[in-house]
Amino acid sequence: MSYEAIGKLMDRWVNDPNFRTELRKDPATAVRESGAQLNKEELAALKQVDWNCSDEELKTRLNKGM
Amino acid sequence: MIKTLHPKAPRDLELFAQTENFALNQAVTANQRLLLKTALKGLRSQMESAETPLPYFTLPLLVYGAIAKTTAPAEPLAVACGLLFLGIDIHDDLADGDLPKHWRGYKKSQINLAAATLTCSLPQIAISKLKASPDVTAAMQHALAQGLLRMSAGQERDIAFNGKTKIKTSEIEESVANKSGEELALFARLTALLAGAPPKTVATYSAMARAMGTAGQLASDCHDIFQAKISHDLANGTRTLPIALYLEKLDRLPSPKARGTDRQNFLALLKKAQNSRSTQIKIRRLLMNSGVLRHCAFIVEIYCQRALSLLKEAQPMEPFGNALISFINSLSYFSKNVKFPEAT
Repeated sequence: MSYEAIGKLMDRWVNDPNFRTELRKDPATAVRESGAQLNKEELAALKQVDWNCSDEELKTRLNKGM
Repeated sequence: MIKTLHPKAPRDLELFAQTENFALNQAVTANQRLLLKTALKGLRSQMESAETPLPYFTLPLLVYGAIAKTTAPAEPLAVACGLLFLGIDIHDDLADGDLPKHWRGYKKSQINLAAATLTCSLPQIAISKLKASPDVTAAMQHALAQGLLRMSAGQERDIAFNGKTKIKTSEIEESVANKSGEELALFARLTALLAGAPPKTVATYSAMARAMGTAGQLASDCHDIFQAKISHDLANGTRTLPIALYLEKLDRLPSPKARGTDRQNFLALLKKAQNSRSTQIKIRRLLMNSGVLRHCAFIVEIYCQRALSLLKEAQPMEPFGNALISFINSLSYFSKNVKFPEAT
């Protein structure tokens, strides 16, 4: 897994409002333009994440797992 | 068949009854029977509180169906997997000092015996009774022993993380994959062997289940920190994914002074959180505000996508393939529109 690249992306998500807007609009392009190198599964996950939902909403989606 | 995707479905209750009958019939003394009866209360309560399909019953049936288009021959194996799951769960509770109420009045040595019986005797007997060739039975017994060995190493590593001040996300994920991931991988490996699948298919289903088990445990660790009333992991000093991500985040701070101070402050908070619920809430807020929850959700999603991609590679038979997709989706935070990832 690209731990460092994902960590830096998430830092940008928290600190850069413009990046948040770009990611919500077009995740693949936003990540490509950021220079981050993600593998196939990471890109598939990136597209699957709902970047529009708030952290509070995200919290309600937590389940106990297995 | 699809009914098993819902916790507490009639099929699950039926399999629980079979598991209970099998275990109690194997007991050689009245005391052992009583111990197993008490242990089975744990499985029953896990079934009742489950929010996702029960992996120990559901995975063997679905993987067998995906390979052989029928599920009936996998039912006795689902029983064996249920017993294994229960034994491993009790070992885990003992290690965390987190025993459920039904064990009140029992000595730790007795509980340990119940866990050992459930892990090291009953599943092996159940496998030896399956309708399979001697070669397949031998391969399954070998897979079981090897899986338990890997899980034991994963648990040992997990315990070693407690209270550590330096921990990497990659180490946490590896430990989760070797423990919870390996558990589901073992269920799938045993099933694929029983179904007579070729080695490549056995390996693919095993890897798929490993990704599912890892996603499920990481999600469970997030629930403990962000949603549970009292965080058992914070109380026990257990280092899980959200903590590791935050510590790594602090390591990326540009100022060396801030890195050092913020790290020391956070470690002091973690120590205090072991005995203070208000500090646990403070940590939860700190992690939420720094984007750790979203980061965790992203990582869980990567494992779900990995599982979906491996399932596609395994070319499952329908309707079991779709049922497996639904199972994987149930672990995701964003399951509404999950599809197979595009092949590149």
